[in-house]
Amino acid sequence: MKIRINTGRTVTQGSHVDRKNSPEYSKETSTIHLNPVDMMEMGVDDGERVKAKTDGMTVVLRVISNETIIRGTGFLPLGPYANFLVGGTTHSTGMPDFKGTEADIEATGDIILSVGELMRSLGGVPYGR
Amino acid sequence: MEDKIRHVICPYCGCLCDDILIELTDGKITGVENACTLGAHKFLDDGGNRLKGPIMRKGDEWVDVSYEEAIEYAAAVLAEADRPLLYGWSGCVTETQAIGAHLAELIGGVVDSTTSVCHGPSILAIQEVGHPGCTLGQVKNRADTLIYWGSNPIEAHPRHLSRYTNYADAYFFHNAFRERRVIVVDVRKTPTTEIATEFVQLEQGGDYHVLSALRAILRGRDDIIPDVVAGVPKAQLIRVADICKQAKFGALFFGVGVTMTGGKYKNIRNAIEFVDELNRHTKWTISPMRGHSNVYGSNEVFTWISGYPFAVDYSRGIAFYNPGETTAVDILARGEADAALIMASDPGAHFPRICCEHLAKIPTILFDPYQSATTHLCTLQIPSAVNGIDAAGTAYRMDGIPIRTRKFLETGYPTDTSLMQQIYDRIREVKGHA
Repeated sequence: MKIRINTGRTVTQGSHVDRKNSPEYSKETSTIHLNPVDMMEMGVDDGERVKAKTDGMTVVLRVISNETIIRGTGFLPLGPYANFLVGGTTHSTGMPDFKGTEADIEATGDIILSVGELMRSLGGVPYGR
Repeated sequence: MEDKIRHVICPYCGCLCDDILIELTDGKITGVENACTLGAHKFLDDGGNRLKGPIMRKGDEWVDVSYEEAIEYAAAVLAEADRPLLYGWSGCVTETQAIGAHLAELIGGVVDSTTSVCHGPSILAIQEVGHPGCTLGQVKNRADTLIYWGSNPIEAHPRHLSRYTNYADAYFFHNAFRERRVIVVDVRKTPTTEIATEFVQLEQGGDYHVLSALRAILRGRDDIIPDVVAGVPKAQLIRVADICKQAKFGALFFGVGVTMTGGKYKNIRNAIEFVDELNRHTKWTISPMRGHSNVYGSNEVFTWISGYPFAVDYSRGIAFYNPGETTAVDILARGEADAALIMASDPGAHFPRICCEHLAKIPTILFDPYQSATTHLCTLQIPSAVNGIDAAGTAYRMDGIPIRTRKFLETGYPTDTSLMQQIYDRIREVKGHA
């Protein structure tokens, strides 16, 4: 299902910006809020996982239902998981389209990567001390 | 031994709250008063969370290195680079930002701050049509009508409402809380929309349309407005325009919900022109909700040094500014930078995928006291003292007021100002300018 993803700060995300490799930060920024009717159509329940795809890139997220989210849209707290789906085009302004990513979302059993592993998939070497 | 330190400045967001009380027990932060959740975490989570010293990536391994080795490596990489990018600067003090701008000139690099991915479009709009702004003190004491547009201060700037707007006492009101009205414009329900007198829910990307409709209504042309504009009923638009006109003093605050969506700086230009239109009826001001503690400072410092507020390219030997070309995301997405210095920010978490991939390919030197997402992408990370905890300097509040942050702990970490100065001096030496 096509979902237009909005991003933004949440208190939990903002409280852990100096602990980006903590489970709390990873959980908050990899959890997408979707309308419960959309979730029913996708066949996923609260806490289950989905794949979000744009331009051939895929990131695995956790879903949570939120009745205030309009159907066809989703809210994903800002962070490395949301930006994994964002393209580098800025329309000559310097600002990418952070808040309007169209992604294909479907149920999956795949696991959610940690922040370090997500960076490894971009060419990095996870540091873990 | 317990100690209480008053009037500490919170180094988290652009509010720069200056009334924080810190409790120290045996040299460790054990209590924080007056701060919001975000600020309290900043102080309380600091202990035990910092890197102990510089770390360097060698192949697929991470090794500890000394500060001397780290400075030598950073200076060599930056001196040799053809297209170095010096990015970040929003979490450090202005003294460090100034060295960064001079370093960019010395090595013919590009210096850009996190502005380009937060309120860069706001600055582009201000350069087109000006900024009818004011300090937060004016808003606190005078504003009877407030608009938060594309902004969720309860989660992003939690004390903005209590220190400067809805919940703040005001010199010119008997009962400010009862006399103020708050309009919140957003695409989704947030904790801030819960406290709104009027919540305007628009479709994602509909900001430009709604602002244009409000301007038309203010001009007396509500006859041309369709029944619904970007999801907002015409009747509500007329009501909002009326509330705005009735204000004695109004203040519009906008967040990155407006700068990041389609239209980008044109949205902000329209918002400024909406405020311009309102000033034909009454007094209104408009200001961006700046995110990081000293992101505004980077614009001030770069402007007084180079003439431009961000995205300054010195590759021609003179300062050149062309957002969309000389901005960090564009330079990385084009695969242009051959070295990067990242100061006090985290592009690994906040840049598009393609930019992160490029950062992982080139020598990337990161200044951050903590492990971040960029840690895994960089080749060298140098931890420094934290501005507002064990380092002091100047930071600019979101309304352009410079505030001196306080140092209240002695940890032994070098400041980013001293580290940058050493790198700058070393490169001058290498380049024969000494």
